[in-house]
Amino acid sequence: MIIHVKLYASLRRYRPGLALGQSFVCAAPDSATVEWLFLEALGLPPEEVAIALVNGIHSERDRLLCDGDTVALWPPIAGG
Amino acid sequence: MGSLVRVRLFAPFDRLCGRRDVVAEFSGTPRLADVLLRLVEQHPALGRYILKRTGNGTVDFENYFLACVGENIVLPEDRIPDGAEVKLFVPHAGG
Amino acid sequence: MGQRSNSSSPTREDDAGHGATENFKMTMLPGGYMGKILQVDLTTRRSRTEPLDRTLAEQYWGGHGFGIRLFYDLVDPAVDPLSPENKLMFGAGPLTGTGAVAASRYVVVSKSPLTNTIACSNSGGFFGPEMKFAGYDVIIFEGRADKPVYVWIENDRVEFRPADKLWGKTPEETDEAVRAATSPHAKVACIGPAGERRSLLAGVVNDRQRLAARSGVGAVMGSKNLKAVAVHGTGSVRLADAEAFWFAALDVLKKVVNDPVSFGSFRAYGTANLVNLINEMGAYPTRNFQEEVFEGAAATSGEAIAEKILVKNRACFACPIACTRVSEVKDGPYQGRGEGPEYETTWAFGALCGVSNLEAIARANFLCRDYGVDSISAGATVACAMELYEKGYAPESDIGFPLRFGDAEAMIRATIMLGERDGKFGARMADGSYRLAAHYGHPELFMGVKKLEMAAYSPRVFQGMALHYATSNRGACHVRGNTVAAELYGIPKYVPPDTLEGKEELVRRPFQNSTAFVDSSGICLFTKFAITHREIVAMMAPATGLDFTFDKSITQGDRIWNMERLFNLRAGFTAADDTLPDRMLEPVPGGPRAGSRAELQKNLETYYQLRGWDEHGVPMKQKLAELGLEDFWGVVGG
Repeated sequence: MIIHVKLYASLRRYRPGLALGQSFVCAAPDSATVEWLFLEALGLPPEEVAIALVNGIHSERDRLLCDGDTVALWPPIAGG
Repeated sequence: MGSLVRVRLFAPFDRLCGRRDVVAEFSGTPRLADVLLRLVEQHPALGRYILKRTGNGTVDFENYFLACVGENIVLPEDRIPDGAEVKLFVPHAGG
Repeated sequence: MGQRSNSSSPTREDDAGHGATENFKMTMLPGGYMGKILQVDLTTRRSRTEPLDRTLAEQYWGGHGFGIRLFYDLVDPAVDPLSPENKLMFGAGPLTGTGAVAASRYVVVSKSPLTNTIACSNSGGFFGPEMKFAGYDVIIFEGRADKPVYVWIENDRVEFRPADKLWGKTPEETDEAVRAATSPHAKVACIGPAGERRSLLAGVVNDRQRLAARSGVGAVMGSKNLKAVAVHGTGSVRLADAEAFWFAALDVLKKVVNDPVSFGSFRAYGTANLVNLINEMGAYPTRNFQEEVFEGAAATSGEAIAEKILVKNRACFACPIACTRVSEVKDGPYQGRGEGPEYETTWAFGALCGVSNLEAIARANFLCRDYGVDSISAGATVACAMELYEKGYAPESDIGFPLRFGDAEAMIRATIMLGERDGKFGARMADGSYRLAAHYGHPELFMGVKKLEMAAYSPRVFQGMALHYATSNRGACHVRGNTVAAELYGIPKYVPPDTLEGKEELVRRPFQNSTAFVDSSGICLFTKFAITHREIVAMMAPATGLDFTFDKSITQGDRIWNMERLFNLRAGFTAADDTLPDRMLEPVPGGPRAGSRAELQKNLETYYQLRGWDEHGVPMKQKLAELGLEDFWGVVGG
């Protein structure tokens, strides 16, 4: 299946050249989870991924992905 | 050839060690890391605050304090010459 | 680190109009506190000091706590906020100025002319610590000077000096001029031209660019003809048990510098790193809260700021995080340089106004600084004006130009009109969006609660924020109970934003009560991503030598919350004011959270119960007794 991925904040350095807010596609097996995506497909250090939104909804790492999902990832961030 | 290094402790390290000045003798020219480890040997309470244990069991130093000789910041791998004074402090944004 | 010895100064008044300092006897508190409250009477140009009562310290701890208790005792809740009878208090915490991490904070407390509630605005920088070094925990300004003055406080010495040459100056210009006339080491809190004009959106500006922004506290200062307060102190904060304090403080420092949020993201991106996240969630209020997704989010995000206009970071006193941005727009119509923009400002002049031009947003931020206004309320007022214009309720002839969402240039023009109080429309904007919308007969376009504009988190998506906006004692502020920490980043623990269950307790205790406590300590709230409440208490106890415990700190936050509630009730507020704009009860029109709406009513009932209040939101006898406030039973005709 095809997953659309967006990387934000300091995670952007893992895909230099990608415009801010632009997504890129990633092929994934049917059983792919959010964790599989960032660990296996993208090779991101796990401690650097703190927040995952799947189609805009906060998701845990073990969430199963569906074809066409958009996954947006952030490092630990906060605000005020 | 031996060398003598003085360490001048600023707040809060002076409080933790109970003194402001420490003198340490080394055979040869120590790195800053050696000076800091000697300080921790003499004042174990300091260890909790300046040492950081890394994942593979080696020891590293915390990054929130600074060590200076004269006006120069020194890093753990830098050599400290005989007779030098190392100032140890926590930098504050001050007025 | 010794405390300066108390020497009683002879009472004196000379022809230069120096204030008289009467003899006082200082109550020795072991540490943390300086032990003195300075009362400055602007009408008579006299000052006096009172000892800080030990019981006040034990029960109310400092900062926010001192502010509310003293204010409650000294000021009639029915007072006209812009009258001489209102008071303006600056309050530091026991940890302010100690050198603990981020121990920079002070509060400005008054009755708000914008909302008529109690106001407590918080600020960092260096002014708070300097107040402590000069020997004061609290400074209270009362009365009204007959002409513009500034007050110069150097340790025991208090002088009243003419400010006619400062009137009209920006905070930066004022800071420079005042320090040139007093001391290069002085720290200055002042008002900008908006405060002089009594704009209800004016804040108190300290250290040139930091604001105690919300609730119009700057208008109170302006109404007293008080342009600036300069403080310099040669003392330092004594610690009751210095060694135990430093052990605790270093623990905190270690945690903060090793924390990926505080020391990682905040340093790199500042608070605006939230823009893309809140937007992707579909919770980013856009075009005066009409929608919750903004097409210009990426272009106006923290990442964009870092790439395009960021110059460097800046820190407050004793803070290694350095979350403040210093940014610069080098050329073009929006040229400028200074601190910010922060998340809220970026949103208020960005998505809320439909503006995608980052440089224009930065410029609006600099304008707010120069005028000395709250950027949240100012941006929200411009956004409200845009909707009034687009819907035909505010005619172009009133405004002077078309004012549409998304028009960056018009947004800047409107901001300038607001800051200048220019013309009738400018004057209305200067007093906030509630009064603006009401004037044009459309109060439903005011996006706030109790006349204070909401902040950059949609209450239609974050149910915790819905309840907090509705119940916050100063109106719809976010920072006093920012449940987004739990509802999004999982601090202390993740709770989905759309769930209702348990939100009442979440809002009440780990957020509202806990924040009130932190605002009393003198430590910056931003440390709380790395540490908990317990670590702050662990510093306060050895610093002060008082028997502060974690349990007492929760009670203390609860006490503050209830005192503020009592003040507001006596000022005429009722449960009917704990509400949200009607638009927040309508479904979100699009994005990932389409259909979502604020669910307030059920949560509110449970919240009152958990707070120990009756169905009218009035604290009950048992609750007041629990907090040691039994003497206040009956003040609201319960």
